[in-house]
This record gives sequence, C-alpha cells and structure tokens, in this order.
Amino acid sequence: MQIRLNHFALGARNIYEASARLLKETGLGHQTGDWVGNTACHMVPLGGDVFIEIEGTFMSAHDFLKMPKPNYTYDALDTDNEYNGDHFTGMMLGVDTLEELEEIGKRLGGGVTPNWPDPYRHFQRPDGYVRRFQSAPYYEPGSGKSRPRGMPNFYYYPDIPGRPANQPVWSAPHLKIPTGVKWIEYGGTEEEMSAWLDVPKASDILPFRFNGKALGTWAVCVGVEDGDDIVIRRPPTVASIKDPSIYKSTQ
Amino acid sequence: MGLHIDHISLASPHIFRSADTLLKETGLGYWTGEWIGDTSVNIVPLGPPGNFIEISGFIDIFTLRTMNEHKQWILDITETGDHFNGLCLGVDSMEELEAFAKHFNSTVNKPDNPDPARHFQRADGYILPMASTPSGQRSPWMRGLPNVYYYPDRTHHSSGQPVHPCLNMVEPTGIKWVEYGGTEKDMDDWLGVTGSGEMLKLKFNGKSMGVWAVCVGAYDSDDIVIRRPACTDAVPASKFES
Repeated sequence: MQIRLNHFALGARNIYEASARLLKETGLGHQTGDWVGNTACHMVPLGGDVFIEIEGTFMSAHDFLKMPKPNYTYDALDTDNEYNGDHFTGMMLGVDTLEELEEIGKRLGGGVTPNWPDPYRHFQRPDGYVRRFQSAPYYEPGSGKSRPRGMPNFYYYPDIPGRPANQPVWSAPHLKIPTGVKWIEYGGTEEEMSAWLDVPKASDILPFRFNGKALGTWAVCVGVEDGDDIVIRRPPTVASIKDPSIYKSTQ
Repeated sequence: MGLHIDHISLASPHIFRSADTLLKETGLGYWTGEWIGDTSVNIVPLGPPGNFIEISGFIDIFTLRTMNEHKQWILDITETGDHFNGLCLGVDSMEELEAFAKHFNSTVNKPDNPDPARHFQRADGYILPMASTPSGQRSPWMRGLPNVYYYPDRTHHSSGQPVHPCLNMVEPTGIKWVEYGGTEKDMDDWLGVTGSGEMLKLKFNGKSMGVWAVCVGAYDSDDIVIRRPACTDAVPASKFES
C-alpha cells in the first residue's frame, strides 16, 4: 500500500478573499465553483496530484445561525491571526484502491464512508461533474468512536484525472507553476504519526517535519518552476481551541 | 442604447444550489468566482445586448457578527428561498448617470474608488469598475425599485464572460420581457420617464414592487421564463419607506 498526500483543507472566513490573498502572496492560482452540502471550496493545485482546498461553510447563513453552538471550526476561524483567521483544518492522505481504504478504516476501528448514491452527497462542479470519493476512518454515528482531532484521514478518489489537482486554474497575473509539495510542518511527533499511519517512520514515506506543537498542518512548502520555494504558513485549528472538551467529537 | 436593463439580482440562501437548480430548470449556464465584501455572485449571462442575472448570497458568515439593516434584509428575503431582489438599469455615459443622480436627489457611487474592497473582484484578479446611483445605505432595491449603473469598461462586462460548459445548455438570445410589480406609473414616477414599460420591456402585474419573472429567448429553443417571487413579497416595501 502506498500512502500519499491527497490534499490539505484550509478553512477561511471568506474563501474568495482568502484565495485572492493566497494568489497575491504566492502566485498560486485556484479554481472556483466546487461545492458539497453547505461547503464551497476554491481549489489550489500544488503539483504532483496534490491540492489545497480553501473551504468555507457559509451556505446557508440561515442554517449556520440555527446550527448548535459551540461550533469547533467556526470558533477556530473566529480566532484572529495575521491571515484573516485562516486555519489549516485538515490534511487528507490518499490511497489507490478501495480495498486499501477499507483496510485502513478497519485498522483504525471503523470503516469507510458509504459511496453515497445521491450525487449531492459528493462534490459538485458547475459543469455538472460529480467528484465521487470515499474516506476513512468512518465511525457510525453513536458508536462513541472518533478520529483524534488533528490527525489526517484517508481518501480514495476513483477518478484521478478529475481530481482538482489536475484542473486548470483561473488565469491571473504573476501565476506560478507549482511542482509539488517539498515538506510539511506538522504538529505532534514522529512517533504519534507513525503509529497513526502504521509505518516504522512517517517521515520516510511523506515529507514531514514535526514541530511538537498542537496536531495539524502548520506549513506546506511547495516548489515552483523558475522560482523560490513557497511556504504557506497558517495555524491548525487545534492550536486555536482553548477547551476542546466543550465540542462534539469529530467524525 | 439609452436607459436599458443591465442585470437582475436574484438573492439566494445558497448560490451554488440556486445556480445548479436554474441550470437544470432552464439550460442556462453560469460562471463563478466574482465577489464583493461578504457577498459572491454566480453570473448567468442572458445574451445580447448584454444582460445577466447575478445569483447573490453571503459567503462570509463571520460578517453576521455585526448586523445592519441591509444584512438583515438579505437574511429575511432568503429565509424561504430565492427571491428577485434587484432590477439594475444601465446607461451609456457618466453624464446620463449624473442626470439620474440629480433626479433621485442623490449622488453617484464613483467607479474609481481606490479601495478594491468597494468593487466586484474576480478570480483572475480583475477589479470591475462600476458606477451607480442612487447612493446611500438604504438601497432602492429594498422598496422593490431599480437603481441605475454605468460601466466605464464594457469589454469585461459580466454578461460577456464564458460560462462553465455543461450538458444540455441553451444559448440565450436576450431578455424578451420582465414581469414587474406595481404599475407603469409607479415606475415612470420613480425614473422620471414616460413609457417605462415599452422602454424597458416591463409587464406590470399590480403586485408588490420588484421583479417577478424574466423571459429569455433561446437559440433553437422555446422561450425560457424564470419565475421567482419579488423580495417585497417576503419583506414589504413599506418597512423601508420612512
């Protein structure tokens, strides 16, 4: 089984502002129009089949106002920082087959998300494309089990060519061509991640640099053609939550 | 062209679901990525001479930490789904716009405000220069009345940008008529013109003010009628008349 990087989730108060700011900061372009449920994403290809999804759960505002509080992600993004509240909200790893995903789900005491027949349970694009995916570990509601916050989950995308990493971005001045992730600064320790991935040394299979801080992505370094490496630095949500005990567990 | 329809705003609680629904209902495609402040618009071009629907909605729920009358109005008119919330007329010169500002006893929102946050922005970095009247915090839209725009740069007009390609799309050939609330006299009085019905292809239905339906021609296809309630059906115009 080859575990590889799939994507990073970057939560933003306003995904339009955040992606425009990231474009100015780095020269990395984005796609618009991806959405699922109450979430919309702007996709930033990083090269090598990896991407950042700049995500916002703003639809609808009415649904949000009625949502039970406290809300973990909202409270993290509500924490001011020099990036207008941007926080890395997840790192998603990838495997190449459903069988591998099922094996991981089982090892972590759960299963995989169903391949929902309803297309609207999957990401939609304005051209009508439905991006099906399944992820693990999935724990049945009420099982009492949950994934530790800040630990990555795993994805299987049946359609590699349709992956956001392989779609064109909006043309813009000073765009750079990304050539792939060079390293990831991650919270916690090598031992924690190795145990979660069930490998002897996590940094041997993925370019991790562990900083011992709160779990989650702290920075992503991306190579570019004809330019210096880009470092996208944002805090992870776990770092900005003072009392995690007041929140419902993550799925 | 003189005074004409430029675009029509459709307020939505979920701009992607609304655009997807409209596409499946009519075959009209849209493009994405335009935004201003806490609002984004998915744009549905309607064909020549350059009209479009903007499906607009909040994209920043954090902005609701600080409420004001306009935000509350948007929340109220989208509580039960999509509502047409603005008819946006156009003129061809700043001089014509200034004349409307004078008629409205107001001023012009200038197109050259140096703060980019005051303009629509696109994913390719383009900042859309746009002037409008009347100015002020309380938009005439809240009373179901149109405002007037002038675009110094028509080459980047929203109606002329490519939509995301899609199955079963139709090619729009322009607005044929707009069903509007109130009477022609109401509209004539607001705009200071005579014969606004014929001038702007408006059919008046006597209901509360605002857009109730838009009929669009389509190449090699039947006319399309997009029918949604006017915003004044959700929040009466009388709330904003003081």
